[in-house]
Amino acid sequence: MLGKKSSAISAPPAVKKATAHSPLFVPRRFVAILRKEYRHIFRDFRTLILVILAPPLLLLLMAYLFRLDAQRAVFAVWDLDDSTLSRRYIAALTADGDFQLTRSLTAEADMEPLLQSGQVAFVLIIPSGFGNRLAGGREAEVQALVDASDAIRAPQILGQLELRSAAFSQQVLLRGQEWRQSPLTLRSQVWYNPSLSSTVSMVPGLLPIVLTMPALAFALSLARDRELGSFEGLIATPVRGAEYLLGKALAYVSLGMISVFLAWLVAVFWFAVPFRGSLVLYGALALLYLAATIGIVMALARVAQTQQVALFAILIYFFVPSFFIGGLVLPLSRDPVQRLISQAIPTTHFILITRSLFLKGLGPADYAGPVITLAVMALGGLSIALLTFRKRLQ
Amino acid sequence: MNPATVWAIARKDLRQFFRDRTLVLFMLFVPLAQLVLLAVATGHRAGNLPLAVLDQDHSAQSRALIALLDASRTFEVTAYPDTWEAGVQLLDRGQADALIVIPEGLAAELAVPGRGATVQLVADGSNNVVGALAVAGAGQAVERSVRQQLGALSAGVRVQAQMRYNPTGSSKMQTIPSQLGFIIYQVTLGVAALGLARERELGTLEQLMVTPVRRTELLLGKAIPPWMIGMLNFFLMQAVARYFFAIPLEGSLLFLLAGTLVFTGVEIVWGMMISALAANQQQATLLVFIQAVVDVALSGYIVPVNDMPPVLRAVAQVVPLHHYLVFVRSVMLKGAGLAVLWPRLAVMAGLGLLMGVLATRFIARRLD
Repeated sequence: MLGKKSSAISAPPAVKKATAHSPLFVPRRFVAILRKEYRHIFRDFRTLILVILAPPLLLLLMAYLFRLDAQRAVFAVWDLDDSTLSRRYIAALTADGDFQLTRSLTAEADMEPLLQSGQVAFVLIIPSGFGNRLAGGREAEVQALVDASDAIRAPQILGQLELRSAAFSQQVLLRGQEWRQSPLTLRSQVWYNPSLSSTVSMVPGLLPIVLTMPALAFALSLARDRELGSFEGLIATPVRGAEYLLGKALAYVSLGMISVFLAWLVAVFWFAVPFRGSLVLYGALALLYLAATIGIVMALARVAQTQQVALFAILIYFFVPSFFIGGLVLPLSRDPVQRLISQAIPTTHFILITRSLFLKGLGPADYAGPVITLAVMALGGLSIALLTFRKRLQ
Repeated sequence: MNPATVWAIARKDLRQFFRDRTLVLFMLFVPLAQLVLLAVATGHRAGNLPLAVLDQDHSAQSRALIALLDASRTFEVTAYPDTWEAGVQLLDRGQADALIVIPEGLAAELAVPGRGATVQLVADGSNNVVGALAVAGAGQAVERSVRQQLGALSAGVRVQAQMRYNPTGSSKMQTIPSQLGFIIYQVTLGVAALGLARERELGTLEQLMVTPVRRTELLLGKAIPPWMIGMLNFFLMQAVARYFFAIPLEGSLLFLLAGTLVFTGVEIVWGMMISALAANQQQATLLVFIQAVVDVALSGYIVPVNDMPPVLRAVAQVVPLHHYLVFVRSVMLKGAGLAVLWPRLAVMAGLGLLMGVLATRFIARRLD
């Protein structure tokens, strides 16, 4: 009976009376809700595709877009010295191809338009006398005009420029010294992802973001019941809040688990990301993450009663912040206030977990904090939802 | 086409919008809150990575090197593990992003000219951006230490940098104009995408179809509200950027407004295409998500377009959001005008016109 939507608007009052005395949770009614939700999803092929296939497809797409390997920067140079050493300096900067020289300027007026239009990341000015000073063992200053409107990239570019300049200086300095080799060398090792491949790093990091899709579909379906009036139909039935919410949640969590494993297949077999943890543990923790995201959505459901609101709530809470403050690309901030904000989104915690599972191959003891937080989010969301759930018209 | 009919449709939608208080809250004020929150949350520079130091030498030289590492832009020394195992555990748990090992005998080696010592860095590559930062930062610190050893601190090439358009390197200067672009994008696209889908789902589309309203009038009428809501957002956020965050507006407000009008127009056309394609709001929303992921990724905010492979670089050229973000940043921070930015405007306008013509035909067919 419950399989049909909005069929019970004119249900007899006797049924409604029964509600007051019926137990809080009856498995049969819970299963009925679950079946209704499955039928809704399976009825329209497009919805089914979007619910199950969207996460792995998005992962496929985003992993190609988030290629952060090359920190290339295009620059222009105004070489007023034009000496052997200045040319060697420019050659040293561009040797590995990460810095690309596009223009050699001849006048000061050429600089501003290049920077304003963003055609170059920086302009390097080498003053006259550069070569002579350097050869004489003195300090030679070059000027870099860096486009700092990108506050994240500008320091990285400057750092690279300084590193290359320092290496060049060392070459020049060490010549004619008693040192045959540099007194101190650094041997760098990168663990977990030795080649610093962005695919290896980004695919596990993007997984949590694409796996918010089941929560989105769930939020929309809650709002849809209210909006289309099928919720009114449910009011007239003996179904209780817990049965309704858990039944719907289980439908999306169970389909979400299919996505969880499809996305895993994409990561491991398509992108060849190493998977060093246990697949069972991955499944269990992904289940916890789905529960946390769906729990939060449930708690928000009282506010989001139309699908439009639900869409914006999810966009604003899960989606946009995940890219910027979840630790996906930028390192997590260590400032307490900023830390608190990023800890409030479940994605931050699951990114830590997926990267540990895929790349570090650690056990749950090493990321107990994130696991506990996700559990608290799941249970907290569910409790708030059950306490505030009102089965009546607004 | 009758302007009065168009306006009647638009007024109906606007009334529906303003009647729903939660919706007004979510479309006008929550985006503002998002702007503020993200600006606060990203108000740090990519640096100060937690570094663990395993100092097995305990000499003046090793302490000098640690001081150089700590003073660098990249690191903050947060832990001194006693053993290698303890250091590895810090890395494993993500409590340190890198571990530096200073071997015993460093000072002794450095005392003999011609001999050399090696320090070891272990960086966490599970976030490749962080890993690369750590390797570069350690390289710089060691290089500086070498100069101290050589007594050649004032020799060699020194880079004197001038940070243009954002002298203090404040990340708010970057975050806010870009987030402003993103938020206007998400609001206009979202509202436009749900418009027709909602009418179809609630069955009111059929009612509209039997009225004498023409297809183009209906489409235009449905396009006006998201456009107005988007512009309202624009003004609210400009005010917050200016008066709350003190982000200067270097360029002309009128020019910025003109570009925003063009951009919102393109996004609304996209949104209405999605709306026509979807059978209900759930589908429309999921399609918006997919569209948004592609747009955000190709916008050049996270990965600069110049760094993309050639194919993606070409695709990014037809993503209006990419042009708009460059436009907003250039006008707000660099004071750029038409002379520099006309190609961006032209591309956005061209995309809008082309899409508009195609979409009107496509949507009109889907409506029948």
